[in-house]
Amino acid sequence: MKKLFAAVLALCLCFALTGAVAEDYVIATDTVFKPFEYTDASGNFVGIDVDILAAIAEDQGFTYTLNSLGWDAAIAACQAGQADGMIAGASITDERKASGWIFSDGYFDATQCMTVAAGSDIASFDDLAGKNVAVKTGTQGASYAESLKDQYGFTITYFEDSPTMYQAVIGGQTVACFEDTPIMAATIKENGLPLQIVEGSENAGSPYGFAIFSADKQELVDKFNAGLANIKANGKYDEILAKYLD
Amino acid sequence: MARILTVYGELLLRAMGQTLLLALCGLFFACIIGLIVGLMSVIKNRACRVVAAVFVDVIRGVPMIVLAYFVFFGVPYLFNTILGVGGVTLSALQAGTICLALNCGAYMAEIIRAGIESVDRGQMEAARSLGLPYWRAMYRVVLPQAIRTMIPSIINQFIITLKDTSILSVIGFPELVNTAKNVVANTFMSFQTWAIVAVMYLIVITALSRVAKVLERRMSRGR
Amino acid sequence: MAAKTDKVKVHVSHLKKSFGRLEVLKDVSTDVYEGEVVVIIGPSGSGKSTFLRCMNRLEEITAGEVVVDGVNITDRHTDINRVRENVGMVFQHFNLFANMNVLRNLMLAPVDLKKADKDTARERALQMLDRVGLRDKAEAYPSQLSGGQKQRVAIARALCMKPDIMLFDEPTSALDPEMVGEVLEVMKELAREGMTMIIVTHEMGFAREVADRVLFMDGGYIVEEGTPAEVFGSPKNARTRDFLNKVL
Repeated sequence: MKKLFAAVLALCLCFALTGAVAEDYVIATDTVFKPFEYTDASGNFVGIDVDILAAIAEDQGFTYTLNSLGWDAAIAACQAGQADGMIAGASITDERKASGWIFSDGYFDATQCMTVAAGSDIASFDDLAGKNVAVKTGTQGASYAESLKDQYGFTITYFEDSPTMYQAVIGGQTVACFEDTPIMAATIKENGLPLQIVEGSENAGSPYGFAIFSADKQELVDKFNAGLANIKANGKYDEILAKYLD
Repeated sequence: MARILTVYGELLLRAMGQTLLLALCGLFFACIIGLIVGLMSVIKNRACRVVAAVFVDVIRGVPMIVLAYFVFFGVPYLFNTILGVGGVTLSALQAGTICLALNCGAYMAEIIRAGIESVDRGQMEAARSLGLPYWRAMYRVVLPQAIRTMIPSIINQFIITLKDTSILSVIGFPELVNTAKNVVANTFMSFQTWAIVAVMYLIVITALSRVAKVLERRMSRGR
Repeated sequence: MAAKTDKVKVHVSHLKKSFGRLEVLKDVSTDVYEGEVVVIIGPSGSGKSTFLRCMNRLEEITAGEVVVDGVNITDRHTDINRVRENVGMVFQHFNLFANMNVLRNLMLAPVDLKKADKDTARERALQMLDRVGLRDKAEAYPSQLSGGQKQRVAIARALCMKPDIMLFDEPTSALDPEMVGEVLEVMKELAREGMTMIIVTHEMGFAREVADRVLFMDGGYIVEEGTPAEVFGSPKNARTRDFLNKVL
């Protein structure tokens, strides 16, 4: 029993230390932000972010360790120097840049839309007056909702993950949620959720970028941009999007 | 840091208000639950004692984050889908209050049980021998003495509960942690934001502890 | 001693009491008359305290019958609280309410049970404190009193309910020797006034002086009973003799 315990402990330590001993870039990401990063049915950590990063690294010839820390921890890890950069479906915004973050070129253009429960009588933003809508903390969907709330007079509840946000709409705690259009469409279809996207609710969209906090890591952003251009040119990029978005 | 304070200061303060509101609502009902369950666990009736013990074990055995998901989604699901009542929804404040009340209530029940059991049995017997009914004796003689020994534990539990409100961030209640995550997401300024949040909690909890100390001293002066 | 009457105040017949499998009282029967002072003696574990506590149902009665002032307290429908109002009890460890001062200890039950309004209760409480010689301690808290003072307050507290019967459960056992006298003095005074008293005690001198009747209990039975002269002077039972030899 003691030996078993010691073995388990040693194993845990090994896992804990692997992150620290690798000499290559450490890239932080979210835990679940489907389809940009998530764990598939066979237990593999996959997604658009994961594949794009892999393709760019291969193209540019650098190695890296991907740490799935979660959204909040990923931000903190970059600030603390625990990670060199993060790729987590993060939108490129001026406010974030003002805080000292450096973003790559956009690698994905997402539009956001409003989604309601199937059969809901909410047909446009006008119907939201006095109602409560759900968003996920830190997403462009959240920014989109924030930009509309004063005009249409609704309130916002912030959730920390998408499944809880969807559930809040299905369960009736909120009347609608704001989410990236391709993600929403794919999730509804894949999981048969009783939700529907409101037609004409999409915004103009904004790009996602790879982000670093320290200017010392500028070379990483340069490599990312160069690699991104290459995989867009050679068709690898479209291949990845097609894999996750159809 | 200054930018966070100027842009988001008011939002964070309002979130602190929400934290306090949730904690107060939760604690209010937790006290009621704790008193009822605590008393149930000291009376003679075996059925009551079993119910109280099961309640405490179940709540203590389930992490509050799980309880939060369960109450927020499970309860409306139970009513709307399984029972077919329809139209039952819980706001984040209602669900959060239920979670805190259940969770803190279970611990309060244990504190109250232990407090009552710490009072010498002779006190109850003496009161009963004078003809006082059980509940009168409990109320006039045993509970006042029990409360005195319980106060430090209760204050401790209050502070734990105040901090536990942060767990309810997951069901979208706009308390301090939930709001702080939002600020971090917008600004990407993690440490600065959390430092501000930590100081806010610290100020409120230290102030509460001081008030509690004064209260405790005043209570013990009464003997 | 005040003469006892032939009115039965407490009637006990075939009383049995078990704690789980342990049978503490096996078969106890006796009658206590109005104005009578009954002292119960016996080795520890003989069931004498349990017997006393059955008389106001602080212990649930397993079998048999206890009738107090004509009320059958073994009957489940009896309001035991009403019976207890007339049966005062004094405990070995005083059990003064630690959260109240002496005056409030005395006033609690009369006021709470609406036996008296506040002023009347206060007046009676002060009278009773006078009686036990502790009027000046009315505002003191129990923790500020000596053992002997606590027990005198406890007696005064019981008297505030104007009981017909007083039960004493080893009232001097927890006292320092020099304080025993003051408590016994109060009890003797009560006996002189004709209070019906049932007393469990190890004070043999007191029993000899005050008791109308002495019960010797052993092994869950009343083994021998009689006047103090009979029980102490010429005990018939071997176990009584054995016990008295040890304690006298």
